[in-house]
Amino acid sequence: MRTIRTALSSLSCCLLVACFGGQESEDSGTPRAPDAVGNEPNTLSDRDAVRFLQQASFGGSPNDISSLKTQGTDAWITEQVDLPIYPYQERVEEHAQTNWVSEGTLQALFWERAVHGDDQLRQRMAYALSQIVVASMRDPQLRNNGRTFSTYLDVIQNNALGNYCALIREVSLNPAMGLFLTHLGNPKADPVTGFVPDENYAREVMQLFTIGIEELDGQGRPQGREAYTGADVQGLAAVFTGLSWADTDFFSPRVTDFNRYLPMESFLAQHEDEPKTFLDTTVNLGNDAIISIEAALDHLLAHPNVAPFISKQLIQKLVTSNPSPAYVGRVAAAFEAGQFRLSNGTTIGSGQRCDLAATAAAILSDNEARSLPTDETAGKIRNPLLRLANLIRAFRVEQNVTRSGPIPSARLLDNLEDSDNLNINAFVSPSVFNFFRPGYVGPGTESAEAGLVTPEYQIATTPAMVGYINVMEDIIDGPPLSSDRENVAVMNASSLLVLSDNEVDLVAEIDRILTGGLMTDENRQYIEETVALVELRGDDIDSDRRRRIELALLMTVVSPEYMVQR
Amino acid sequence: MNLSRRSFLRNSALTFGATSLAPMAALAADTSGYKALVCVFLYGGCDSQDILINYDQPSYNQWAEARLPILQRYAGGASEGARARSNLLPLDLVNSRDFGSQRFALPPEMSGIKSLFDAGQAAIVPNVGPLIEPTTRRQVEDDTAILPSRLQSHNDQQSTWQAFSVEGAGQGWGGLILDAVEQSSPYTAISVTGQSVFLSGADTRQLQLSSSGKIERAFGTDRRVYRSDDVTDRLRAYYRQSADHLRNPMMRDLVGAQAKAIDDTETLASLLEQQQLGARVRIDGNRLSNQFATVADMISVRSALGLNRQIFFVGMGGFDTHNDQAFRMPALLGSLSDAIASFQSVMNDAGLGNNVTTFTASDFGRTFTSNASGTDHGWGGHQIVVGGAVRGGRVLGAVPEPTVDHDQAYRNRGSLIPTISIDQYGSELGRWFGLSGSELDAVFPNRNRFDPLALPLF
Repeated sequence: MRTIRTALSSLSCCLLVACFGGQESEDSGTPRAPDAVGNEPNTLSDRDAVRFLQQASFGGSPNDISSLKTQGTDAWITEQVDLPIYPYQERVEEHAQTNWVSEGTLQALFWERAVHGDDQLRQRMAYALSQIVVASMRDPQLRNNGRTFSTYLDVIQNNALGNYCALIREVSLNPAMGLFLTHLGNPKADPVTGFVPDENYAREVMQLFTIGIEELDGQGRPQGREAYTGADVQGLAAVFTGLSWADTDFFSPRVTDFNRYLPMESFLAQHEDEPKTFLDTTVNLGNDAIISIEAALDHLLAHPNVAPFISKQLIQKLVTSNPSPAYVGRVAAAFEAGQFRLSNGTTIGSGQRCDLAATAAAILSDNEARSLPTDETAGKIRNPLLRLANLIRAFRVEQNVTRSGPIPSARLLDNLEDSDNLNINAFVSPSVFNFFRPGYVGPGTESAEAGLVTPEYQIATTPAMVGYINVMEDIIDGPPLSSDRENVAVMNASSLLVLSDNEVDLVAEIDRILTGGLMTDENRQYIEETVALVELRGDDIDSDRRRRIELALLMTVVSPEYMVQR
Repeated sequence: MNLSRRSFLRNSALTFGATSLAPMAALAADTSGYKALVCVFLYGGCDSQDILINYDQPSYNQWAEARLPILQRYAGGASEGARARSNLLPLDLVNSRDFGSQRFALPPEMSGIKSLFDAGQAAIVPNVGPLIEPTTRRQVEDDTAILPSRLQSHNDQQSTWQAFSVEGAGQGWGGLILDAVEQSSPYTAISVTGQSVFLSGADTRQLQLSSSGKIERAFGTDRRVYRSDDVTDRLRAYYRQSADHLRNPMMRDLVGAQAKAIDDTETLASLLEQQQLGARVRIDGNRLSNQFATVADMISVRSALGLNRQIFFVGMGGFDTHNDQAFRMPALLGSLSDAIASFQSVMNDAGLGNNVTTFTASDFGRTFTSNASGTDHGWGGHQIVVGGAVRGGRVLGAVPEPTVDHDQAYRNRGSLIPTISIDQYGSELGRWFGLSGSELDAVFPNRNRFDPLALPLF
């Protein structure tokens, strides 16, 4: 499968070059990885491998680290792109036969995939995209439509290494998004009562999902002009009229086991059939909502802001909060070209604009991601959910993600979003603006003084700082494996028992696995000295050994070298 | 209060070279007695034209006609009749003469605010919003007005309301007011609803508390762990110090926040354990009241913490009512009203009724005309101010006619161009809090472009 796809995309590149009568032997237009980056098999250090896994996945176990070192990052990316997808909807439909589908149900599936999925790059991209193209189970309507929410999750997951423009087209017709941003059941203007179309989706699809609020250059730098006006919002609002649940009544819809999983449908009588003008274009295609929406999205997605706007946010989610403009420009070029050539010669991506596999490959292969920064402004505060996932995944008890069967338990991970827990969780954003904003500046911080945005600092509140320590301690000290087998979020660090008599070896191994050996000497020695104070007594020496491991893990995960990714 | 070095510098910069050698003390903040401000932020953009409702028959008819699609949806719902004129709570204004034949009412779910209004402990400030300069419809239509940036964008207008600039702002007016009164304590600026730029000043740093009423302490900070005092001590120290030797600003900021969280929760956990005031504020199922309960508890420990000025930030979401407004608004406004009333009543009982002022703020008001079942993003909005010190029982400013074509109408859907700027609104609150005129100038840079007497709030 992989080979075929790669071959096909190379073939189409060659054809393209031929069409343009290119003289060069290679498709020189395809953005490509810098030569300097060593990502051949057996050339990576532990540090390289751990840094890469922190950026591209939910973190790695000792096995993941050694296998990446053997494979090299190029082969890893290539393999990831074509791994099979495990849909949400199938599992949820089965579960719903006899159970209520809550946000906890969906989060358990998220954790199953994050901790145990082989398709780590897809999962990590999907999680990032779920924070950009947000729908939230915190919405009272969606809370009652968890089954429909699973179709939104599939749109995100299916396109996470597919095509961003396709994702936006699908999500715009997805009933979960329709409920969340209220364009489901949005009728055309009524001259009798005087109401006019709801502007909600029109505004947010521009501000958050496609072009952003300011005009940008190709490297994502604001040009000091707003990208759209209130009149553009009103014009586009008229486009998003006439959609509702499929195959039912527009104003009094009946939601059934049939239409709850289907895209929204066009209701001709409720779509604004007058010409609709926005962003210097007019959509005048009659009364079929789907046709108007496709045309409007074609126009919107062709906007030059889309590539830098989305590329920069994906870089911020994966690699660094403050990428250089040039880095944004290189990734945006891959987004535009729809393909990216790795340094081993493999081309990633379909060649269609908005290709997210190409975009991910460009993000991860860039020098700004691959070489350890010397400069203190690179990197990012890691989202605490990713820090938690990394810890569990590093010491996971192997399970498989399944296509059917009972939804696993993630009991220790319920209510992580509470303000005195992690203050964040999957799929329950407080609004379409996510838990934290890409442009967040921490008031009064040294980062702000250095001119840095620190998006994740927005959720680093007093109770959440304490909550993080306590959540991590609970997981480290969690129930022993045998008592909770179906739990996807159990960790087992007993592989470290053999090292625990020697605090230097123990801390060095934890440092290697969790930070790639980036702990400073000061902190590593401090942890060693503290661990050494836990005496190994004769009567129950294994308990003392476990205490040493727990302490070393806890101190590592509250360390700046773990909480901040460089 | 001592005149601090910082206020000294600030004041002298304004004084020297400008006027005479006026006595310093006259320019410094008055920090006598105890005073607290509580900002209630209504996230999503509150449709305040559904709070202050036109009540004289002709105006009500106009209001109801413009909102017919929304009003129709009250039929048969849980809030059936909630916007029928006969069920509204008419306001007897102390200053009714200012409004001619115009009369106003609150919706029935806001009986708590209505009682405070009748008792002279609540006022309504109509049509407040961000402005650079006084602005009229004509100027907007002629394109001669200087408008605030990114109107109608949620995140940017939340930031503008709190800090006078779009997302990414560093200092808000709550924090700057606290800078001026200069109490170097970590417990003056308290948010019960996450990070808020409103409370960040040049020196003021905010503390966030959870609304659960419990102060959770970090593992190992409240008890011995790993069977060893030495290990416990070293762990506690590590939480605080692990970035001391580092230069990376993100690492230093995050561990700094961790250290501050450990210290603050340690101090507060035992102090707050004894407090009863909050328990009396709490209303089952009302999440905003839980936040107010935490505020009440923090007020009750003011003496133990040596504080005579505090500013709090609480908030509730759900106000982005693009649809189903008939279903959503009564519950939201009921919670808001009940929570504020419960808090003020507990403050009154504790003899602090005149010492605490609660005020609302929101991303923006909403359109006057409706969508099929809701309203859209607007600009100016009506705000509620509660407290014994407030000149209550009044609507303090002009209320636009219930149409889409009055002089303060913005664009074509009857959003409001504000008549009172946030600078004016905040200045009045800041003046009550004790700031001098020159200190207010430093916090609200545009306030001198507006009529200083337009809003006699206290």
